[in-house]
Amino acid sequence: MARARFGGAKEREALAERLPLVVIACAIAALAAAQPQPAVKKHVLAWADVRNGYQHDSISHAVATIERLGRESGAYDTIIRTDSQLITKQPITFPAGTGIATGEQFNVRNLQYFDAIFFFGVREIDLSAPQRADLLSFVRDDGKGFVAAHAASTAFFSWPEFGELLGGRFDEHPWEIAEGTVVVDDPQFPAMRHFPPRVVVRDELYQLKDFSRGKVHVLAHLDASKLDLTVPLVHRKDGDFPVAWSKSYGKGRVFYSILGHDADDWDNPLLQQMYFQAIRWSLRLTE
Amino acid sequence: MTRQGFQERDAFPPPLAKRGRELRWTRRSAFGAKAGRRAAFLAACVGLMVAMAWTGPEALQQPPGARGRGAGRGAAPRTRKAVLAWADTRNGIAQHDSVSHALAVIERLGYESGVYDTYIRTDSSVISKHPTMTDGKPASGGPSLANVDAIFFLGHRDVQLDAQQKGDLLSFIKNEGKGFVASHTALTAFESWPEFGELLGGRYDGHPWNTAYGTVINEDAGFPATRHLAPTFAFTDEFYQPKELSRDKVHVLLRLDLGKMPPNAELHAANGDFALAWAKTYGKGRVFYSSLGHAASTWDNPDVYRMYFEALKWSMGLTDGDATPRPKPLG
Repeated sequence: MARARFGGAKEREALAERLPLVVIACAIAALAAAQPQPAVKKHVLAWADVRNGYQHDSISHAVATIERLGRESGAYDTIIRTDSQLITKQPITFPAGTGIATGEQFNVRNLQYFDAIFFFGVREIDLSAPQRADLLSFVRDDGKGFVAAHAASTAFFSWPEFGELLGGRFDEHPWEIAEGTVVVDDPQFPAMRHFPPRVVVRDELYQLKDFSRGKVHVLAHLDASKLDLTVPLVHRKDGDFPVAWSKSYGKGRVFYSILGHDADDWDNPLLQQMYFQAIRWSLRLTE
Repeated sequence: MTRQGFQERDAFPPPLAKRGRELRWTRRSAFGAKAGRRAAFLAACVGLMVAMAWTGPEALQQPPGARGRGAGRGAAPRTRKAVLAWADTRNGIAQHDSVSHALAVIERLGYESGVYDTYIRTDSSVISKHPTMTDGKPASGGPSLANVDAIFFLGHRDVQLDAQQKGDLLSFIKNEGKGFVASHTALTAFESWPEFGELLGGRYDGHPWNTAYGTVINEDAGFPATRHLAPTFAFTDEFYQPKELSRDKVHVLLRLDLGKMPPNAELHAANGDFALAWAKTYGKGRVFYSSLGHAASTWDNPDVYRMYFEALKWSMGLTDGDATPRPKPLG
């Protein structure tokens, strides 16, 4: 070609138009390069089956926020589901007569595809026995992550093994939505590093039961001296009110926090970073 | 990763979103030091200005405190609209990787503008005026067709609904005048249910070029959902070919310029008409469909998310637009 590069007026114009975009693209690329990226993007299932209980208004905003944090950081992709179809390691098949146009199936995920679950389901979720076994095995045997928020401790009361997995159970919220002072127990833990040693939060403060400090690593707790322990539903005589803990379950990593009742709690950078870093930890992106 | 890391890389949506977030969390007294409150005030001012520029006056008519929905129990009655973002994809083939991102974007647009609250659901138990738990007992509160103002639908193929649910869904739009905004794979949904085709205004007939580059013609720059779009614009997407679509029944907003597409044996549009977005009424209700949005990244395109956001507002009667069917414009 005889014509020089950028020779014509049109080309020059086009370049001038694109130049700001190119600069922006370079800036974004430079910023992106500055962030440590996992070699392969992880896959998180944001699972919030709320069909059998009270749907907190915050849940949709919570799962959308978890999705955004993964997407913007590049750490993981999220699939949001409020049904429990994907909680299985078996191939998901479709019986004849359910309206599937062809026998072709692709992109049907199951637990094998995911590296961690972010769980915000409530109460008695309808899972078959094989599904329950696959969920436990996902964490225990496959070493995958399980990060659970707020009402997750109300889930599966009738299933003892789930209590073992999570590390404890919901035991009312004696103060309803109230201010509490969070005291950080382990400031070195990835999900706690950004916390000040003590901070006042306003949330629906859960009292937990059936947990043991011999089995869970409490990361933060509520300062009992700042709580009214005379309200009727306070059951813990020892004043031990964990806010967040980490634990292992077999080969897998588990994190739970009571925080996140209201939608705008999920806009609080303290809480966002806590769950985001907990997910990264559960994915073994941090230690 | 630090918080700063997020903000620097936070490219979507443009400034409004970031300021909106700052506005909300810095406002919280629980975390606000004095400096934080000053910053919050500044952020609030800037945020408000950006919000005015971006969302128009509707959002600002919300009473103070309407932003965010964190009032918890005993909260004042709902002042924002409620959208059910419904994407039951259990039945099937071709699970799109974009679905979760699309749902999250729809949620974010409503949240940050203060126009609506979103309930994301990938099950269909709330597609009913009397939703039930999985064991058939009545559900304990939560969203249902009795309390949301519009549905954003991104399901596909034959979603499992019983006859009662199907009746409730049609009545929600037809009799109660609620909104129905549907995207991309929605055109493949309920193949075996004729009334759904009537509701949506068309059916899926493949995507002849798969994901391809094309030129989109904006047929109605006066309609709220397409007002921000150029008369013609280049776009890359998996363009769905509609069938059983009649310009006697729908108001086409966007169509693909077939004159600029390569020949394709799967192209069935005999008259050169290939609609990519349309509006219509169904009884008393307003319906919008667009096939744009195959890839997750498409939902980060402001032209696209604004189209769906404005379509939702229109479907809920917050804005008006002409959905009268009309013939294909000449030229």
